[in-house]
Amino acid sequence: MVAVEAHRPQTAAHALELQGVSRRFGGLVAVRDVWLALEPGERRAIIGPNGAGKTTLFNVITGELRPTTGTIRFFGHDVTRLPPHQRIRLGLARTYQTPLVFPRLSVADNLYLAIRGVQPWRLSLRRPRAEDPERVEVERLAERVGLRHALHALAGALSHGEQRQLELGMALASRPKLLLLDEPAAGLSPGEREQLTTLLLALEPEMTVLLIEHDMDVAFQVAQRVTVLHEGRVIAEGTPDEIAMNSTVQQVYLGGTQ
Amino acid sequence: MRKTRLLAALLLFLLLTFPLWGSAYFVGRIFTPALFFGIIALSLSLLAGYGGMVSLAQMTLAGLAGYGYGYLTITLGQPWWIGILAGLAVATLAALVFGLIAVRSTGIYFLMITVALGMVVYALANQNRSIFGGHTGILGIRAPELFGHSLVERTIFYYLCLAIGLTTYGFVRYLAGTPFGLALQALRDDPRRLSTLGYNVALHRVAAFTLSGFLAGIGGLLLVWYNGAISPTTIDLTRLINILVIAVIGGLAYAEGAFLGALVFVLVTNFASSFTQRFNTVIGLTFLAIVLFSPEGLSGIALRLWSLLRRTLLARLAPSRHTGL
Repeated sequence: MVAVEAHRPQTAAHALELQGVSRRFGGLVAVRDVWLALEPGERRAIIGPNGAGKTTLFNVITGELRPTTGTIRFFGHDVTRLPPHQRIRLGLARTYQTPLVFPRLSVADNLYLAIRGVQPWRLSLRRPRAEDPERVEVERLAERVGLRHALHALAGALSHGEQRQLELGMALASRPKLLLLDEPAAGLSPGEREQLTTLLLALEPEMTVLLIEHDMDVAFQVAQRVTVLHEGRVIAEGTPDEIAMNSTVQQVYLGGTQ
Repeated sequence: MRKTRLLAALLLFLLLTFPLWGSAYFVGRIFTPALFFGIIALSLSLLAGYGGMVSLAQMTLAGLAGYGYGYLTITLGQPWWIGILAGLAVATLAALVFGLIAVRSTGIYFLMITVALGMVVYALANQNRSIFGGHTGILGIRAPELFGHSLVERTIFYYLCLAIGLTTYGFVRYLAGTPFGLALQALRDDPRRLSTLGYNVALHRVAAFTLSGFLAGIGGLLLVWYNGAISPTTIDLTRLINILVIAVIGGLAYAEGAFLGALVFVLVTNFASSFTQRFNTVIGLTFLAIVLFSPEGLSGIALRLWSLLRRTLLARLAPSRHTGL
């Protein structure tokens, strides 16, 4: 992987590029001067202790929060000023730390909405018909995330683990170029974690993935590179092995910051 | 499922034959107003039940359709069909403008902004003579005439209101399964999540509000034909609140609730006045009782009774059945 990267032409755009991105909440700087570049197809994990600014960074990338300073580029396209829905339509998708699904809609409807969100005529007044390609796609997605049996259940009635699966299905529904996963393994049983890892490893190779993860097993298996965030700053970046050996990172995780 | 259909068919049969066995008073003075008030309240059910937006401006939008019709047909002397088109256009456009102003806020703030907009229109109607006719409003408004019959003749008007009521009700129910309706329900539950699926939430809210304005406008036309006049009193604060009361009594989340609530409302206003001067107190108490004892409104109560009844029926029938359910 490293060798491939070295031969990559300089001109090709990064899948995601953050240039000096900061986000301030009053006196608190949640994200501080972050520079980050993801190659297309790269799998990158962001780790860091609680309050390191990982989720804030995600919110800035999706546009749910505006950065205080800095520029965000998506495949070379400056998206810093774009609202979330327009960034999503460009090929961005995300999941949340606590799964966000629509509890009073069925699993099928949740997936269907996610598919339609990146298509034209999303405000259509025509009911989907059984032969619509989106309906077929709903079943394919449900199969992929292991929810085929629960298609007609209300999303709110699913277990925590199943809601995570559903949310992942919703994120994949738009066939994103860049997928942001916020702690996809949180609250999952060991068996579910294994399933998740298998699913993540089987993602299309051209899909770029950025994931926040506390579970090092999942993070280090899925990611080729790891970025460590601490108090809003990037303090280390490298391969999983390099990060595991890094003394600054060890200090941060063992609490020896002073 | 089959039993629910059977019940619906029975209800439909009763409604269709009602003028044959119901008293003229009930057909003309109770059920007909209940139907057009139901349509106006339905426009609120759509907004509130699917979209989580509780608006108090629905009566204003309905009234604007009435004013549009009256202005075109009476003041400008245009034929009725131009009046209908103008009335619906005015209500829809006003809803678009209201929507653009109000949709950035939610919950109680949205409610307050819609009240404020309603009061602005009320004040305008009260003071403007050239178009709104000031305090007197527009008098002598006539419903369209077809084949020598006025559409407001009792039986004809009942069937007209019933047909339009059923159509709008069916439309709102149909909407629930469309991309538009699904996204509307999704933004009620989590607008932020909807935006990170690629939907423009503000645009969607405006579109829903505009659509509700069109529905309210339909109800408004029927109302103004029935009354034969429109004045600022039709859109004063009490009338605005009445629509919310109707929808809440019936069950804000149910399309059926709009009509059920309207029926109860019309019944109470008609009969309470015969034994008390304070029918507003009776309405208020009914409202309170519903909100306190069944937040889902009468539809919620009816639904619970129905499922209870079905379960007892099924339990009785179960031994003689071979197929499982």
